[in-house]
Amino acid sequence: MLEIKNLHAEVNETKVLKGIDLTVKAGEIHAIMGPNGAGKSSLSRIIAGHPLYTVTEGSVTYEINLKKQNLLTMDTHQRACEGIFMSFQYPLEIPGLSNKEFLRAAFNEVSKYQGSEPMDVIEFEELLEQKMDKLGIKKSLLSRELNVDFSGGEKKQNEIIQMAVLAPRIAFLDETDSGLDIDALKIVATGIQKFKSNHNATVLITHYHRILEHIKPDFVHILKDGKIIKTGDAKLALEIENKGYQVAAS
Amino acid sequence: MTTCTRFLNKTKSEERIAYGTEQFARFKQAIQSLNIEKDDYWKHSNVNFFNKIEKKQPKALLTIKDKGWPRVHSRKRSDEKLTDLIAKTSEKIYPVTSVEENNLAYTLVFNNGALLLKDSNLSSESMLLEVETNETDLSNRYPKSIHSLVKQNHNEPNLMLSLNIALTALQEGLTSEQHEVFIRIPKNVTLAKPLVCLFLDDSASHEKIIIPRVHLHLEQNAALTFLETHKVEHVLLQNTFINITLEAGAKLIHVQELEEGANVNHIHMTHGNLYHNSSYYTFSMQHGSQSSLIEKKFFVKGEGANASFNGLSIGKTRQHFNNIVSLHHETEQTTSQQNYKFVLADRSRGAFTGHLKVFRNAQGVNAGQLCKTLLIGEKSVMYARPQLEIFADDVKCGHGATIGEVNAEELFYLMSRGISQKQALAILSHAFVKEFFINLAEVLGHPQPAITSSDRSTLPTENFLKNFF
Repeated sequence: MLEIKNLHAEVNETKVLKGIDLTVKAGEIHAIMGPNGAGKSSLSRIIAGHPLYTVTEGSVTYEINLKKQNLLTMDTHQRACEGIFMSFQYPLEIPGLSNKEFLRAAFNEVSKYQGSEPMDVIEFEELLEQKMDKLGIKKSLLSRELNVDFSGGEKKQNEIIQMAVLAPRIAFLDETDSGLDIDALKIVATGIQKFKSNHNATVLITHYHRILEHIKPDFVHILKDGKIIKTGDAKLALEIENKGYQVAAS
Repeated sequence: MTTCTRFLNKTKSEERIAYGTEQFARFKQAIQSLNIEKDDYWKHSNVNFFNKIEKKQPKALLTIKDKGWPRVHSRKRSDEKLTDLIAKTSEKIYPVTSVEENNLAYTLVFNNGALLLKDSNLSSESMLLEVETNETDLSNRYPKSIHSLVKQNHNEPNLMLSLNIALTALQEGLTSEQHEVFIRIPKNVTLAKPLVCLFLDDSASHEKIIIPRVHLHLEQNAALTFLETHKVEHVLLQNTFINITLEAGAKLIHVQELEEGANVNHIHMTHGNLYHNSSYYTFSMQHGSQSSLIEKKFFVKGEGANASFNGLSIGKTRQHFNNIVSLHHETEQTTSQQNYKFVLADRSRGAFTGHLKVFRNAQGVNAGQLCKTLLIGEKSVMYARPQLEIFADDVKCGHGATIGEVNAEELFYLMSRGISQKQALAILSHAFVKEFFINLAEVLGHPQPAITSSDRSTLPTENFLKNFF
């Protein structure tokens, strides 16, 4: 589904990725772990199309309708419309923009791109209702302004709502579990589990083994200094938790 | 929204001069393309252009000659020296006959700057609303026609008013009668429906100047919602003058929307006197015309009076929008707020001058002044000049201005959810200005606008996008 080959990238003339190779297939869950500053967030931002990053070498191919396309030439919003989703580590607060309005704008733009009819207020309200019930997130989040005065946990839950509404094909979740209490972590983990199907894939970027107790990854990668230095299964995450990155990688 | 902030008081003087010159040139262009002798006042002060006015409005012209053309960005405020300015009115005057009002509003239609009776809906029989154009009949009751107005307010003549009077002389070829309208709301009357003034034009006014004037007088404890909509298409310059008097306890909500055609220049002036416990709320929105200036000059004269000024300017292409608020707190225990926002796309320009003056004996004044700008266009420019001039000791006054660009991270956040850049900019702009519409809805007594079937399928931001970008 997504194939990253020898990806090198820089931001403000600092090299952040130094040759990443990663293949993600439909139905898989990948976990990317690694020390601070290893390039984990940069990887997800580059895939999402952040304008500040420059790819200097390598390729990213993305399969759309069984055809392999070059992801790097696509615009940010085009990537999102084609099913790439990235949850933000620090979701931004936008005063004046209602959360519901934002979700509907995003949903309708993606629908329009994919050739289906946009939804009106009432229809969309019904859809949201269903999704929220499924996720078990309180509905009061919707009537507030986008992330304004949200707690850390509420912001992360809001990212999961966005994922559920947009139903992407591949989701990069950038430290979605950081700063969450046990209940919020369960909500987020449930959201990710419900999202999982044979047609989509998840890439979890995390520091902790905690979330992986709820979601069993098929692959665990250690990213260090802009490179994936080791790949293993779920056991590797436990090893990292117990021994640290240095030992686990060696 | 994070914005980088800079105070434009620090703008280089050359920039200001260049800006002033440009604005100057626009008016010059507006005047020159009239059917008058050119070449030209702008080089020599004694010129043909003014000869024509001089015959009709000698004193008004004198001020302009003396003080120079009203400048949008004059740095000094000494442009208002004592000068005797009495000009005679030469307009023909007709009384308004009564017509049925419609269900939504009392409507006054102005075509080419003159009141159009047959399209206006009024019920003068009910005596709730008196509309007259016969100044001589009303002169005892309404002494504040434009000509007497230039003398009042501490004998400070105003260049903008002089301009208005001077331009009257150029109105030949247009219907000059009935361009000055007097409206009075009697004591203790609250009008249930708003009064709407709709300004239109036709090809007869092509490349001409029009000068509509409205005098609005609310007697004690009267209340009114007054909406002004400007939709002229053909004129070169519209110079609107609104004169407001609020007696004790009167309440006025004044909403104006300037959505003129792309080739129109508009100078819009509102003068007001606010007496004891009166309340004035205004919201002005500029998004039409190639350049427009909204000037508000208010004198807060009665204890307990409150004035709230709100303005939104949305510029695109090469549009040029200017707001000037000049507010004099003359008595104690009066309050005012100024809240202006600009969203500037493409190469559009905006300017804000807020001048707040608190007189020596006006203790206990509480006044705030704020101007915020969102620059969307790479080449859009904003000039903000918040000013306070305070002579009293015990007052609370604040002022500030911010100018910022769209936050790149916010834009990325929206785009990473599938929203195109153009739509994302519209969404962020809408978020920036939304508070005005919420406030207005509250002031007008409709806290939650209901969703109608027609706007069910469109987002507020889509309308915003469609209308303004």
